[in-house]
Amino acid sequence: MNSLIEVKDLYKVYDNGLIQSLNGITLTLKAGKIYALMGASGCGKSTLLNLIGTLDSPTSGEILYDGKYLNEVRSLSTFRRDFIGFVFQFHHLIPVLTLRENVESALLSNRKVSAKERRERAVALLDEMGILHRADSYAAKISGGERQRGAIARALVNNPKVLLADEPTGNIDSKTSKLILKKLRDHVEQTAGTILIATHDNDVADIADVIIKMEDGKIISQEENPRMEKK
Amino acid sequence: MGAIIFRYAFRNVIRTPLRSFFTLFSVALIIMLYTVLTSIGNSFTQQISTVIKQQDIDVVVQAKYASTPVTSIINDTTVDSIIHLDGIHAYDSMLIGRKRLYGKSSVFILGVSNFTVFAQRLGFNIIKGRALHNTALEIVVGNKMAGIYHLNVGDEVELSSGKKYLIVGIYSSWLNFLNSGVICSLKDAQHLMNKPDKTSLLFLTLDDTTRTNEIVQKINKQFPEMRAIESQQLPDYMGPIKNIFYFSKIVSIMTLFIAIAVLLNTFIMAISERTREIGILSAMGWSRFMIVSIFLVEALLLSLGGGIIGYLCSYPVMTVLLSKFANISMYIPEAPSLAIFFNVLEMSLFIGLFSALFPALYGTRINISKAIRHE
Repeated sequence: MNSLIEVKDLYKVYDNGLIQSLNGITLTLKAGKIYALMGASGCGKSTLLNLIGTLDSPTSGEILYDGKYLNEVRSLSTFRRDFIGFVFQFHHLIPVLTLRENVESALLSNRKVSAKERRERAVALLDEMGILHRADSYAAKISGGERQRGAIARALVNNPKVLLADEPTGNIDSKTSKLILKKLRDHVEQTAGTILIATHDNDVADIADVIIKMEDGKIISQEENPRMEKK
Repeated sequence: MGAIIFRYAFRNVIRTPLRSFFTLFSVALIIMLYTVLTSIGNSFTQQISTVIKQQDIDVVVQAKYASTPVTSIINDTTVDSIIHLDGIHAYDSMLIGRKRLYGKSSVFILGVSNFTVFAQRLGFNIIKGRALHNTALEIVVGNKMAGIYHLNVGDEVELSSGKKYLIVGIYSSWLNFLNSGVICSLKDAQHLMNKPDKTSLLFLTLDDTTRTNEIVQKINKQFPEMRAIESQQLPDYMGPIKNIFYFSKIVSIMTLFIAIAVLLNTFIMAISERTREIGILSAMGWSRFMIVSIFLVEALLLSLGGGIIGYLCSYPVMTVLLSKFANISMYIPEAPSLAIFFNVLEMSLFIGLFSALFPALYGTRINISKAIRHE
């Protein structure tokens, strides 16, 4: 299987070296696989997600996407738009946009997608997530589960090859959680992409192909999920 | 893309309704002030400049140290000496001043040596009654003044104690400021303003206009207490025109700065409050240009909205000024001009772009991961 993301000897320090968040991470994320990133709070999971998603820059080390160094990418915003999808722990929907507009907003900077196609893709995803009836509602007017499903739809609408999710099911009920995880699995299979999920939730870890455990900014183990191997 | 960005910006404006209302209100107030003051300034300078152009005269003489025609005093003996210089074809003189009417506001008095000549030059049109025949104790009044004081042809007005002046006509001039005044003979004006044998301005028509410069120099040399100038240079020498021009410019610049300060404050707050939102948009791949454009559209909605409201509000304000301040009504146009409207649009555009651009550019220079965690 092709490796989509390669992380080589990644370090990240904050406050002039007082806080060492990542301490020499080396990792490969392969196409078609879901990775669960587990570890205690503060072990560096979110930092790793942010660095892979180009939301922050590493202190040292390198990240390659499909064999290309990210520090050689001309426009990181275009790179994020075309290849990366984010799901945050809290939905972070734009409060003044409706659910449909929020999903459309992820496609807004892509001039290749017409307004009609943008709308159709947003509506289709909202339908798949079971929240089409909320398409014209603002985030404040819908439930937490619906908001998180909206946030997943927004992250998936661009068909990103790499989906980075930080505790995507942290604040929602188990039924919605299962729906979201199923959708993530479908996405990986349809796009041959990869998903890296930072989580404490064992249900999430159960659907992952690989479970990566972190401690103090280091990867302490990386194992194939036996349950997924059986399947 | 544009439609969503516009909707996004518009909803952001109404997201904090009270703040947006007060920003809009402040911009509207500032622009209204600008429109009213600029309209008055423009009206005044335009009217004075047009009067001078219409005069059909070659040389104007006024007292050297007078800052305005009202403060200029030329003695009859000096007038007599000047008009007998070689090359002078004809002359007219005028006394300008103010007189308190009924102990209330003061009115503008124009004493003219020859009403017919000045009526032609200044574009007077007798709309009621007859013209002035240089007869003592007769006056014609401007239609604006007649309206304010409820005067009519045949009425008698006591402009000075014990002397009543008969209104023989009501005139209208396209020069707005003249419509708020009284015109009488030079002799009557000298008496009314207690300036016997004096005039304010002397207008000379020459036999040969190629000698204008020579005659100007001759007068300035022979009469050092006088200042003779070629008529087309008159606006440059007139204190009120210069002052109003500078006043107008200072008001414009101050208006611009105050409006920018108001909007700048609003946008620094708005951008600081929406740091996380900026981070989310950046994470979704929005370019810096797209994020900045939202703030620019928001700023333009507020500045153009405020500008247009301010301009429209200046109409009733001018009407109130016209009715309540009779003594300056001569300078107040009935409505702001279309040119000022376009000027307001330009200013609003500049105010909006300038005040949002810098906070937006600064606010989008962020560490995205920190911005997303921002509370």
